[in-house]
Amino acid sequence: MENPTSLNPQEIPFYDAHKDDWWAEKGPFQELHRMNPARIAYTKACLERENLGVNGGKKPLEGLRGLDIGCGGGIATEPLARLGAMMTGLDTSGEACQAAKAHAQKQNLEIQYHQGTIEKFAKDVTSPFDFVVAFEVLEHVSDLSLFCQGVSEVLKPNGVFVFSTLNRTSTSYLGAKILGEYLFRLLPVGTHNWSQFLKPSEVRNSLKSSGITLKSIEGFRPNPLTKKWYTGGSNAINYLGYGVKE
Amino acid sequence: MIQKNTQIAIIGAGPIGAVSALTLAQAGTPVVLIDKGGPLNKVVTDFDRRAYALSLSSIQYLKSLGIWDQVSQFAQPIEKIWVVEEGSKTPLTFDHAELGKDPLGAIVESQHLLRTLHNQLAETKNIEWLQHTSVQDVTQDELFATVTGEEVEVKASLVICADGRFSKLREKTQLKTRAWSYGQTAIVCPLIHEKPHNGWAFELFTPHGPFAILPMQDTSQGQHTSSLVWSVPPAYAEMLLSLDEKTFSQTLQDKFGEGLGHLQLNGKRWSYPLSGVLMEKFFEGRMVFAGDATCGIHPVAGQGLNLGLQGVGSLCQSLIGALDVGMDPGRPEILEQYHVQHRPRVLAMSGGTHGIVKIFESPLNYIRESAGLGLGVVQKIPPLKRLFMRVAMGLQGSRPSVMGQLPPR
Repeated sequence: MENPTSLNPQEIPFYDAHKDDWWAEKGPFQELHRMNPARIAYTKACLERENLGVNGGKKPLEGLRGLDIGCGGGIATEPLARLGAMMTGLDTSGEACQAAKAHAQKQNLEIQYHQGTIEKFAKDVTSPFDFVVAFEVLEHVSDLSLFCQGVSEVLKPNGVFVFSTLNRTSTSYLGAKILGEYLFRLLPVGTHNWSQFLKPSEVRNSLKSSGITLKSIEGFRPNPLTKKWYTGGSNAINYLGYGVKE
Repeated sequence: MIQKNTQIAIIGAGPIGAVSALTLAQAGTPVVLIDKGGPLNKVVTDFDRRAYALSLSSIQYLKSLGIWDQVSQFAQPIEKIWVVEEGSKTPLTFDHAELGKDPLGAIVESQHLLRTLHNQLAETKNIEWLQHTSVQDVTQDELFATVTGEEVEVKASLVICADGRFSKLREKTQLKTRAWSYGQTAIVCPLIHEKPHNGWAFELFTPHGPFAILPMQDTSQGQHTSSLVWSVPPAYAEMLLSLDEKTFSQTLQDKFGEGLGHLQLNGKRWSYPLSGVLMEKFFEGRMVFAGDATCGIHPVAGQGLNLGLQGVGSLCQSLIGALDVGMDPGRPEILEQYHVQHRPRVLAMSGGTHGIVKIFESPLNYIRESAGLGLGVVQKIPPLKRLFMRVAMGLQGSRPSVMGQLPPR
């Protein structure tokens, strides 16, 4: 029997195939770019709330070690690095890691990128992280408990885990699958498997059994006219949240 | 060749480029400003005598940048606007008292605004100003735009192009731009008149084009002055420019009447062919356009600079917000925010001013007149009139917070 894994192997070919599209203006990841400012702002706010090194100025995250799980081409990893955090990106797609590495290098951003799963990476980590982020990742994970266990293992005590994902509601079926993928083609068809979407209670329970206490859940939604994403409001489709390791 | 690296480079140190630089620098973002000329640092008599009409919104923006106190020494507040069609007896009047205590706006000669901005640029940290630097080329790759001058190369994540209505940088892109001529030439010149203007601006609509007299500050000798902006067909303009001063003054007097007493030309006459420009999309890759480069409009409503400043407000707001969360400021989803916010304003103002100009010269004008649908109609519909005023004062629509708060009313 195979070892248990948080990885859903069917998804890797998709991300490998799109290795050159991570930073394209009108590529399959355009929506992730539009989400990005609000996700980073939320991360900053959470770290500040937990008194983790946010000291204003140009590099508010200076001195913090951060891990971005499911980093893809480095969409969230790069801005966190620019804010001063020492970042590591982790992705199961080797092609994504290569693309991310090349992209960071051209900007002289010092970021470590590794291919692999969190549970495997956790075994090799020597010095733990102040914070971990996983944006639009949980809904792609095949074994959430194993994943959360990995996150907990790499976090320092009182370390912060920030995530964004999709809720499993009738609204999200209509909104994210039917409208988002089929009707408006904001995302490539087949990006999501609705049955893998996660209710906040499920995330809370998986985190709790790994020693991470969920602190907050916030709705996350785009303005259809400006296409800008905002935190707040209903969490029936997308939501952001964070927890703290006990 | 000197190499420079910066996150944001700005090309053009006119009012749009200068205000962009000040807004970003004051928010803590270093910028490199590139201009083919040098600073304007003294009053010059033969400077282009064009004046800007600053809306209340623009005035508040200059206040928040800390330069309004200096500009206001040269600015004449507009208390009332008096608009009439040639031959009509019912004027349309806009009185600032209808909306609040603040004036409708202010008129300031372009050189005074520019000089104040340039002084401020020189005194502001975070601004590196490359003067007398002509841009020869801008090239782009996935992550950077490179601006090449004769002796310098600036590599930036984003280049703000504020090189005006006839933007050369625009031609380096594939961006679609519509350009048209109004078949009119504007004659601009300073006037001295016998009676005080009391802060009134006058605009007379004629089938040939609008005739406007804008209030200016009294001279140090206490002479009352205004600025003429008269849009006429090119051949007529040529004739007017060839008249001797006395005959020209008399022509104005005949046109305008005795409202300001005896009128007299007080300096050189300048002329500008009137054209319109409209860009469909305001950015391509890491080049983003601002001000007249994106939209040049007819001066009939005195809104060109005001519109440009609203755009600068939206652009800088998007950039400052993006930099605050570590984003690359040249990314399309950041520039898209500026485009989405500013594009509707541009369409409304470009379309609105175009309509105002065209309606008086269109064949339908005869029908409009005979139906009594004159400007006087607006006078009788107070909500419509207030809407016109709010648009002209820049109070309508969303306001980027970098432009400062509007005064309470």
